[in-house]
Amino acid sequence: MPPSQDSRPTLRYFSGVFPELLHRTWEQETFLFNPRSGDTHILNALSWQLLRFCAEGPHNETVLEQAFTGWLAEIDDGPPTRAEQSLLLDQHLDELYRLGLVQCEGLP
Amino acid sequence: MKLADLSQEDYRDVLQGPGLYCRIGPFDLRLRGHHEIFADTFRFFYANAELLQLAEPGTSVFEDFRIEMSRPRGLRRYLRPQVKFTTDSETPFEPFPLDHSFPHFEWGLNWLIASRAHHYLMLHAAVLARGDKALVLPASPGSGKSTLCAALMLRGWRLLSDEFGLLRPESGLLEPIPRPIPLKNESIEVIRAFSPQSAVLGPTYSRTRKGDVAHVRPQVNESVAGDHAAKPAWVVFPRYLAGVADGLYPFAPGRSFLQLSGNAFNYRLLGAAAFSAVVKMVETCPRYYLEFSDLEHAVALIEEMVAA
Repeated sequence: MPPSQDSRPTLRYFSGVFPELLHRTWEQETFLFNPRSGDTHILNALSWQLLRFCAEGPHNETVLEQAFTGWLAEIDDGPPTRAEQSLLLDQHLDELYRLGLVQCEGLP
Repeated sequence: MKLADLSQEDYRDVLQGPGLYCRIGPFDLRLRGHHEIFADTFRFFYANAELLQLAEPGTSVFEDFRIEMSRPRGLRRYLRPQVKFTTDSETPFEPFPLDHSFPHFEWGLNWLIASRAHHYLMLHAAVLARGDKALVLPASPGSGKSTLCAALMLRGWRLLSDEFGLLRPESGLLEPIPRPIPLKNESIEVIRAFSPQSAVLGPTYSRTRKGDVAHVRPQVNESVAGDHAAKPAWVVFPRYLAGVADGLYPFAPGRSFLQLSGNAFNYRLLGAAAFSAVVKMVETCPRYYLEFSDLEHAVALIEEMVAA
């Protein structure tokens, strides 16, 4: 179930797929080996932080949004509005989901 | 016993008969060839190849590759004669003109290694060594890698490979597979001029799919011939650009990772082992980008880097 489907449940929970991942971080970029696809992904600092947080989960969207807002506040050029922050979180979660690095469960 | 130690008569007999059983780098090869054009050129370039003991009748030996260079039957024996590359009873490529037998063999051997030697991470890289320390030159075609590799060999570096950096993921060591270095077009004369005394080149093959091609014979530069593995010590990404000011610049680890993994033939196939091996190389070796137009100066820059 993709995270961004219109018919999504009101509250979704995200968690990591793999307990451990081979990775290296150099200069704000994390190089990550995906054991399922065999691909190597390059994640920016925000995506990597989000993935690690999901791996400690599952966390629901509200919790994720709070954490994400905190991380964005540390970045000077973070989006100013809550709507933009929410959109950015959705984009990051979509991408991690598409890569098979997080899983999503909706609660009715 | 080396191939050079075999008499010409015995060499021909075995090549046309049961097959020459020899070791090229880490690979054991059974080779048959039926034409003197191929036989003479192979012997010229692989004079230092170690000969292996042929099995007694009724017993078998392990062979990584079995290759036969033969002439197709029919009119082609007389009209524009050709040579075909056969391995394990298959002929995977269209025949080449007979006088291009040697480049056809080299091309076929590259193909066999690239398709089968997956116990190695195969980097598309030239590798040379000083003692047990390896200099890795990963590059795309047209970057001047082979020319630079030949130049360094002619200045005393031990040649491990021009085409395949064979890295054992479990040990992190690079295996030697010293084979002729193919030079293309202008590079042929560049290397002749670079080291007229010591560059030994074979025939020039005109109008191949890569233009004119000539091979430089591997040179044995150290007391122990090029048969021991080396540990990656420096990574340099070379790029030849006509007229550019030569320079050697530090290269970021992330970009280095992308270049190394992107230049490996079987990175995806080896998966986690390849990821870890490339990470280790990036983190243990100083990495540079070399832009050059002057070969002599490029070699000097590398020597300065090594001395530092």
